[in-house]
Amino acid sequence: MDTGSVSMPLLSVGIFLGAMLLATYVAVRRYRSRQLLLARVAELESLSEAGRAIVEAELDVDALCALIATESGKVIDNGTLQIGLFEQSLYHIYYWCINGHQQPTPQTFDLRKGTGIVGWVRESKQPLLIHDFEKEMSRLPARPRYISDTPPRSGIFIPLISGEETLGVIAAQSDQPNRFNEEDLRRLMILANQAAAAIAHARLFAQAEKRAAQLELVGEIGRAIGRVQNQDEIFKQVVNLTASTFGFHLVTIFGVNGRTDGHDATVIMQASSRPELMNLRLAVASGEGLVGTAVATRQTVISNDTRHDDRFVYRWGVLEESTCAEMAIPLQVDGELLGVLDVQSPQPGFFTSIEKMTLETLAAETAIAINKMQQLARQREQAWLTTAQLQVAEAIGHADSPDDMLESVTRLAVMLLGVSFCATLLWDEEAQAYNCMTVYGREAQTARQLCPVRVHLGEWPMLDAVHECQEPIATSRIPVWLQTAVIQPDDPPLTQITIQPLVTGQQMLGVMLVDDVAGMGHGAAIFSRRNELLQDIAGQTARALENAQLRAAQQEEAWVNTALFQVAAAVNSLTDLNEILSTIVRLIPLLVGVESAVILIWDNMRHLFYPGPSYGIGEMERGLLETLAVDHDEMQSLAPGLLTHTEIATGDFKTIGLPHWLERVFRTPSACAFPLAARGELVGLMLVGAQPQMPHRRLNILTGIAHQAATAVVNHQLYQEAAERDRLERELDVAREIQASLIPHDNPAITGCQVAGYWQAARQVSGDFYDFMELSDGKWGILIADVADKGVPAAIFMALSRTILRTIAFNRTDPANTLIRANEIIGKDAQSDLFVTVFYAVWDWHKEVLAYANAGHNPPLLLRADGQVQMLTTQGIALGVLPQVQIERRETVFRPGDTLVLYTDGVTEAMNEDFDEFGLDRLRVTVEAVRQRQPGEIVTAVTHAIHVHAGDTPQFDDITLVVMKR
Amino acid sequence: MGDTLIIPGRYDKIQEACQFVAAGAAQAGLDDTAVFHVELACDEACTNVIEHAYGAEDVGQIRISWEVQADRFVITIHDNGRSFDPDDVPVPIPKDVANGASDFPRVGGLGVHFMRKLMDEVRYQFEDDGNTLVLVKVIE
Amino acid sequence: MAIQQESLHSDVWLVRADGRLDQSQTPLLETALNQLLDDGRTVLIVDLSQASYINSGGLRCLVSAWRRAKQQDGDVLLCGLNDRLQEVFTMVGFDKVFQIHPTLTAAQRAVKKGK
Repeated sequence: MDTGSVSMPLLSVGIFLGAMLLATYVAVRRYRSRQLLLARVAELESLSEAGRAIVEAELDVDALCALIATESGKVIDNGTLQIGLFEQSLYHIYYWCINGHQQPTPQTFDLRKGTGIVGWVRESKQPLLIHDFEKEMSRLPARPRYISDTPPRSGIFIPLISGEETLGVIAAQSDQPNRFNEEDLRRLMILANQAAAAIAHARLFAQAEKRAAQLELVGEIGRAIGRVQNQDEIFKQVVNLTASTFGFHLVTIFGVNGRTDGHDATVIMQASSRPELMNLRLAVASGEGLVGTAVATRQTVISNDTRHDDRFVYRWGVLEESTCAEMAIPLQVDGELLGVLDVQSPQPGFFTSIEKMTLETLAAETAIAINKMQQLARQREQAWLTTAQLQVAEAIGHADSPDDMLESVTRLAVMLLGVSFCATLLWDEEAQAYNCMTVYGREAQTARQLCPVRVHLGEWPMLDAVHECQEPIATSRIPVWLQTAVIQPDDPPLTQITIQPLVTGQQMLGVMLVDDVAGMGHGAAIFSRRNELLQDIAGQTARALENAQLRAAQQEEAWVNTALFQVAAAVNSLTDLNEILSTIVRLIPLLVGVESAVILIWDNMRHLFYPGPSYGIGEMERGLLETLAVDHDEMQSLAPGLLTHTEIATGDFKTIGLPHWLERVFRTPSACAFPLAARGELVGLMLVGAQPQMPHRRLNILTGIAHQAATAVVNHQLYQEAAERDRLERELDVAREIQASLIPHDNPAITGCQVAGYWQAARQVSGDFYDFMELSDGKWGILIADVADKGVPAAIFMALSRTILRTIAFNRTDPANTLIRANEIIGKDAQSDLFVTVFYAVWDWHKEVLAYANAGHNPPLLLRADGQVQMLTTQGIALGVLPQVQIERRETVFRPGDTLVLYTDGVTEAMNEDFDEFGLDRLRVTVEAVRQRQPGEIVTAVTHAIHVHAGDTPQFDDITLVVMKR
Repeated sequence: MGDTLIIPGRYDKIQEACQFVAAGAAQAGLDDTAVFHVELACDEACTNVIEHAYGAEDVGQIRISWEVQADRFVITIHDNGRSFDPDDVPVPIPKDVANGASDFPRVGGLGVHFMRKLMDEVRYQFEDDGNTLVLVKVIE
Repeated sequence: MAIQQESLHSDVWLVRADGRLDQSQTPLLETALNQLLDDGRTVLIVDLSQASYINSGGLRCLVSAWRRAKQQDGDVLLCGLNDRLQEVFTMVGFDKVFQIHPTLTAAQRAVKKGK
């Protein structure tokens, strides 16, 4: 704003005019005196000076008017002088003097109430000189308004004109008529022009200053807003500061409700110098009124004359009257519309481009501040949300048990979500129902327990829906049980609840019920956050539940494994079956928590179970068990099928009801029976006192233990069997050795013939034997015998018989006699039903005679030198059958070239895989083929032939051979 | 102080053995109740011998002796039968291993329980020639 | 040892065992009891007032009978035990198994009450 540039042309014009007038005047008044001219010049100079002074004066309107008044006084009588300026429809008097008395200034008159002369001067832009009011009254263009008690007689009114505008009026009055003349008018006109120029400058300057001041204030507002933390505070500051700074009579901030299509503006804050103008509940639709237009177009909307503007929307008569101009500025940040700043002024035309710029700056600052505020709020909200989540996480982490956790979470949910209740239900797979675990109500200090309310599938359709789709559902169909349980009698009933699923992966673990979170909160944004929090709580809880369940299962598994390991360790470290079973039985209550357990051993002989080691069974009970034992049939009836599986699997167990006496033993009416099976056969039974609702997992341990016990029994059996076998083997070894020692070690040199013997037991011990005895008279006895039956008793009998025969044969020459006598002794001594077949021959070398007798034995083969074959058969039964026997004696010559073959069943009955016996014929043939050879060779040939014949078939019977040859 | 008696392994002879031992107990200074206990314990012991060591009556003999050792009344019962350990859990071997099914008869039961309750000490020894059972009652 | 049995009123049977209840004598008692149980007499009173001695075998016999009786919803009651016998029962805790009454009359009353 360059005052110089504006004043200069005016000044030059002024001076020019002055000069022109002067020139004219000089020209007109040529004939006047030089003094008069000088006087005029001086007068003009002083006017110029005055004008200069005025122009150069301080640009303060008040001071300026005073100066003008003073300078005017140099021209006219300024006893009653008035200088006023126009503003819109108002006339402000800045200098007023009546009869020399200063009036208080400024004073304002509303020109609409009657304009008077001043108004006329303003309109016409003409000065007015009134010589005498009384005379000219009728000719006055306007009615004067009397402003003093003594009406003036003369007056002079000069308009202050700048450009096209009448800025103001200089008005002088006098109570004397004709006080003012045309010259006065002329002079005042000059002054007035300069004054008008100065005043225009001053005004501009003042306006500029005002702008600067305003912007400064805007800056301050902005800073003030920036310091404010609270959104509401911001608004309040803005409206109040704006109203007071700019003098608007109504400032409103509208907030915009975010909706994708079209917005609504609602009043957030208002300030006004006139309270009656305020209406806080105003809501404006998009496009409606100036505000609505600003919302729709996102542009500043100005109406500088609302009285004639269609867009101006008014709701109250008061506002209609008061407001003449309105400006609505959208508050936007980053393209997002936050609201509208609406300012209204009673001054039409108030909103120039400067106002627009200023207030748009303010609006921008406000928008930024709001945006920051909202961001802060969002951050705070996020922080709150995060804190809430952390609180939930902490509660979950600190909980001792799943139940504990649910309780904490439910309680927290109520507090964090600000709902009036929260109920948590867990899904029960077996029952196919939801069990209510815990409920917390906001009002109640103590939790109202709904447990054990159980909601089965099908009872509550909404719950079923959630169960199916695993998504949260809000519903107003609330079952009665929930209403009555959760709401106090005085409270209003629940209208809407949310069913939030607790789900991980695909598995429904439970649900949380809260009264509808949507109903709470202050608006859409907050609702969604609360929902978010509810989802988060549900998510955390579900995961924690899952973890707890997994942990529990793992722990259970670990526990089971540890338990079984302990049992296995115990079993492996002990070797005594009794100790093992005792240990097992002692561990059972520790591991499984049952009170009593007993291991029953199956006695196959007596067909009953007798008690083995037990635990937790009192003396009397033990005594009962010991005394009574458990019959197989009894057990069958208790647990049908348990014992009759073709393959008893350890691990199948049955819970059985106990008969009265066993009930006494266990002190419970039922027990779990675990069969112990080993190698496919029933070995025993583990009976464990059953508790009601024995957890299934515990039964796994018991099954494992049953396995262990069965294993221990089996091992014991195997061990015992092995030991037994070992023992028997040793016994048999001994027996064999003894036997072997009884068989002739080598073939003796018998006078007159050669002999060879062969003895091969089928098993360790044999029932066959042969013997060569030198008798008392130098003859030789040759004997072959076969004890019926096998095994140790036969072996013993064999030894016995041999000894007896030897003893008796020694003194006798008659083989039959020997056998008869032997029979007597064997028959008497023997304690069992064993008998022995014997063929006994006595060789008399001198006579070349073989005397022989046969007690039931295989008839020997005699091959003569000429090739004849004979069977030496005689009458006689085996020894040891009857107390007295008849045995026949025979004899035959034995010449060189004769071969006698004595054998037992094992030779002739040696079988091949076709069950074809070796037979006598093959024996004969074999011997015939090698009859020329030595007896030893013949023996070898025969045994070889037998082996060839038998092939891979195992030897069934003892093979004993004696070959005698001359 | 002590004595020995041999009885045939028969139920109707047990009473004699019991009375024999009871007399000794009385001699040793045991009170009536203690004497009764000793008598009962002896009954059980001899019954076990016949049932388990011998498996039947008239299979063998039972030697019962008693003596006083300081403050202890010691009974020794000896047999020549099959060894058995009443504390065993003899598991019947389901399959025949040796010739002749091995019958592991179940010892134990009430009788053993009795003995343990009645006497202060019960010990078993197994020797090659049979079983020796030692029962001790403390003289108070 | 002598065993006597007689029927008391309303299907209650009395068995009196006198003398020594040991290995040689107990079989008699066993037979008598089993017979009665076979015949369906399920409520039995065993009078031991004349019994002087009992060993584990005797106990076993009584307990077996008790079990069988219980299986048929009956019972075996004992009466007249002297101190020695009582001590034996107490030692194994069988005094808690059986109803033991001081006299026959008491036992009979108990049976009647039980009905």
